[in-house]
Amino acid sequence: MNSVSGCDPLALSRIRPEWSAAVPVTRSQQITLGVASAIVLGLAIWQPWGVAKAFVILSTLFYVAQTFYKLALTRFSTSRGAGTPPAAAEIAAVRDEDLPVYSILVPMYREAESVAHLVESLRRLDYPPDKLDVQLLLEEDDAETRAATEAISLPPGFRVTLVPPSRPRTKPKACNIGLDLARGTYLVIYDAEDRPEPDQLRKTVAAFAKAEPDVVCIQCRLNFYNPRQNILTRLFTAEYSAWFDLALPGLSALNGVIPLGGTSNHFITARLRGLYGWDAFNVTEDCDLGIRIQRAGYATRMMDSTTWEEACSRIRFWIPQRSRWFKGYIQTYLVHMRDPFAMLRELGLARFLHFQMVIGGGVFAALLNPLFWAMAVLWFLARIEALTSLFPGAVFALAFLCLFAGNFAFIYMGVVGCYRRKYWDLVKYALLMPAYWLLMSYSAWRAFFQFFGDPFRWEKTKHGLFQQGAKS
Amino acid sequence: MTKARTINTDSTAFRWVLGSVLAAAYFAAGLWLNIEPSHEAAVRDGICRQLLAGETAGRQGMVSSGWWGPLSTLVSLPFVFLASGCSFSIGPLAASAVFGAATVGLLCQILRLWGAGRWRWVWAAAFAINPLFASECWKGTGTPILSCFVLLATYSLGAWIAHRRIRDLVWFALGTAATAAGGLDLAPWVLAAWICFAVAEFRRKGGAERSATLIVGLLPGLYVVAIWVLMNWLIMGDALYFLRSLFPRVCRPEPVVTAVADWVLMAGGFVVAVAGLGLVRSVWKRDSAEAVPALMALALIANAGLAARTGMLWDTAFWVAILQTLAFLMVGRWLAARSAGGVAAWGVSIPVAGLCAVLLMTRGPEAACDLTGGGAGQSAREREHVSRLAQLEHHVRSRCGGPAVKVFVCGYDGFGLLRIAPKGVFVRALDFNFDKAARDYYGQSLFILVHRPVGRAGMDSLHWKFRDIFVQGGPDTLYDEDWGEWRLFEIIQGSSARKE
Repeated sequence: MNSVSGCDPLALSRIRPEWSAAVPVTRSQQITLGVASAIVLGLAIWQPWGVAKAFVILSTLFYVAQTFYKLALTRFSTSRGAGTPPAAAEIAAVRDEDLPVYSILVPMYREAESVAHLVESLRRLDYPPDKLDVQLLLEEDDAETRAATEAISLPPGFRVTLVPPSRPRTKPKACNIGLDLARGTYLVIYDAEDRPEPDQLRKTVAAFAKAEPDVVCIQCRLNFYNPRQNILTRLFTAEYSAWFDLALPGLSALNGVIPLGGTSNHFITARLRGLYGWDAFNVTEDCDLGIRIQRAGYATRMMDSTTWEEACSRIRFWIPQRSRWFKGYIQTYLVHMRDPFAMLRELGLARFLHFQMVIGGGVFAALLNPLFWAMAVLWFLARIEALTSLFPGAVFALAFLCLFAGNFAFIYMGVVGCYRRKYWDLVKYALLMPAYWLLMSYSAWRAFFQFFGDPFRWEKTKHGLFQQGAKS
Repeated sequence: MTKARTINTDSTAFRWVLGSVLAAAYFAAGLWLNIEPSHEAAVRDGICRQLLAGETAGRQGMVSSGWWGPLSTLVSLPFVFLASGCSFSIGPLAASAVFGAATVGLLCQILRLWGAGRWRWVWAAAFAINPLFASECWKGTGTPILSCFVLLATYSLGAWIAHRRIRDLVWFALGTAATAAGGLDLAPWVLAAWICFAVAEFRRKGGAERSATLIVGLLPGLYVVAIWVLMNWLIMGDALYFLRSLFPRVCRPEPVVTAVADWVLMAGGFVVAVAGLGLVRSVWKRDSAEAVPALMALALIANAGLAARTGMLWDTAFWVAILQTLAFLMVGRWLAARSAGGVAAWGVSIPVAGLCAVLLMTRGPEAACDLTGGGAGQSAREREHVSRLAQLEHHVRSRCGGPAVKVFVCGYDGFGLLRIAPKGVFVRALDFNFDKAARDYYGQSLFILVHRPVGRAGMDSLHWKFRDIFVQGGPDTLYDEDWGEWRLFEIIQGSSARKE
């Protein structure tokens, strides 16, 4: 067991409070949002039809931008810089004795059933055991997982770090403690149910060696080992394949801001400490860290190595997980938009726009979609003429483009993502993505309301359902 | 078989700049040479303007005819929007110029991927200045737009079969989908491309992979067709409205042998020879990347023959320009395959390439550019339209002796005719209905203006809804007068209409 005395998991919120979501909405943001809302409300009372029309026009322009943006990301996902791994010869050239110590952080909470699988997966990593520094980050009051850990003999290089109970009770807080105690030159986060490809650490070492000096993080691709469990996991897989195999590599190729995925992000430990680790108050601390890396002048790259995770297979667990992600995106957006001009200065215009499209745009689209779907359905079925007048001339043409070409483009990206992953049988299921978007929009609205009511609530995703199902 | 090469993104900016310069050059040349925009450009411009104005006629114009596919309208729309203050049909001209440049750029890029050296610039330049293709760009027709997508689909299909890279599969799918959205003219060709693709897949093993590949390759095209059907149902109230003109009586079918033979001898003979030789050579060399363009060129010739046979070959220049594009591709492939050879190979290649270029540029219909346009931003045709409309308005007003008069200008040609006409007497009518007109304009003097059913005008809904209307008139109509290609009828409002 490690002693955690002296560790400060909330360092970021103390030293750089302007970068932390500890205060979800600052006073100046409250005033700005309040004034803007009052103006819109006033205009809506005075000229309701005009405001509705303006809203439709702006939303349509946003949809057009979002569609072309996603298509551009897909196009660039096949170009250089999109995450080509180092060549086999480059990986083989690194001798075992030259490999640095590699820290692996595995935060766990109530995941007793995953411990054995996790240890087995990490043991399979092709890396000298004496150069592995694996920390299982357990909550002190999680007796179940602690007992499961004590019940098996941990291989050499593994250790348990107990996280004392305190608020906020989040994964990043545990990770910060692990970061303080890490011994490796490089550091990676894995979740308890993860199964990284065995050569991932070697590939990463080789990738860091040949990367530009400003690269401090390498994000590997994530996908699922239970894609065919049910229809939800099939759709989830289609979405992940499109996101990690098309969109993020495209972002990497365009040198845009990359919102890190929850796991398999590899860091240069010293640089990560310099950034004060993760924000313990942000429920998508990975996404936030991805932006901070860019704002600090560093870069993230994608790498073509996959970590296999468990796809959430029940809607009642999937919705809280997705709500947490959306809520985290809202937190991240508001944190970084506290001073938009500083952000613009630090990121430059192109990356600033990437941030708007990926972080702000992702949430905004999910919130907005139900409204426009409802209008489309009403128009199709009831031919309400009033709706037509909301879409004047050019806006009608653009909305037409978004409705038919834009939505199709997003479905097709899921199809292509599955195809690229060689999930031949899942390709046809990707056609059902619109049903999945309904769940996403529901989660987005849930997250939106939760953000104002309970911003730091961490809705833990239930893992191990696949193993349980397999056993039964 | 050449080695697959990845696209060099470092030169993306360079290619964009070059493409923009070429597009600007096409556009500027069209304006500088004072070329009359095509009738098609004027109609497209009219549809776009109606769409931008939020008029139902614009929406109907976009989807209601298989012969005026939505692709060219949609790609022209942003340009028409930007040039909405201009009375000239500048939007379609700009769209054609941009897609003309894109076609040239795509040809050049394909040659680069095939391992061609710097000579590819010369070959692409020869294609760019090819009078027929250039004139299509200058006149603002939809030909450069469709050429671009036909070229993309053809190359991508060959590349997919040869290398099985997913991006080629996606480009093939998008290329054929866009071509399908271009109209019914090339529908048989799209079908042939899909069959070619499916046959190639069925020759491979792997059931699940095959069905996945078919979904990825065919989905966009099938989706486009489904959306077209849906929009017809939503806007026209009849899901198959755009297909109703497929076999109207107004067409004059020709015996198939005569039609194909005439057409081949007139325009496509050389291309047929190139395609045939390309096919033989590809079988000999087992080179699918060369076989596919040859097959697709032959399919295009067959498509044109079918159009001629059914009396639907409106515009020879359209077919020849697209065929020339594929011919330039095929000869480029042959040259690329020989580029690795020594001086002897080049000694043969250069004269052959020169001869091919000359033959491709000189065979086929003349690049018919009307140089009578220009002057104060208005073309000769538009000046004629304005003058004719003024005379027509004067005529109907004098006939009725009152202000309450309406003239329904039927069919797509009405978009061109009324593109810049003031509102008032004239009403666009794409889906004309006598009863509805009598109800909506009860008590007014009503006329309809019907275009002679020649070419695409014969496919307008008026001609398949009211057979022989041009010759015999419609229900409750009285012949009034001929106005060039148009015929004016007066609608006699019966008691039945008044009761409603």
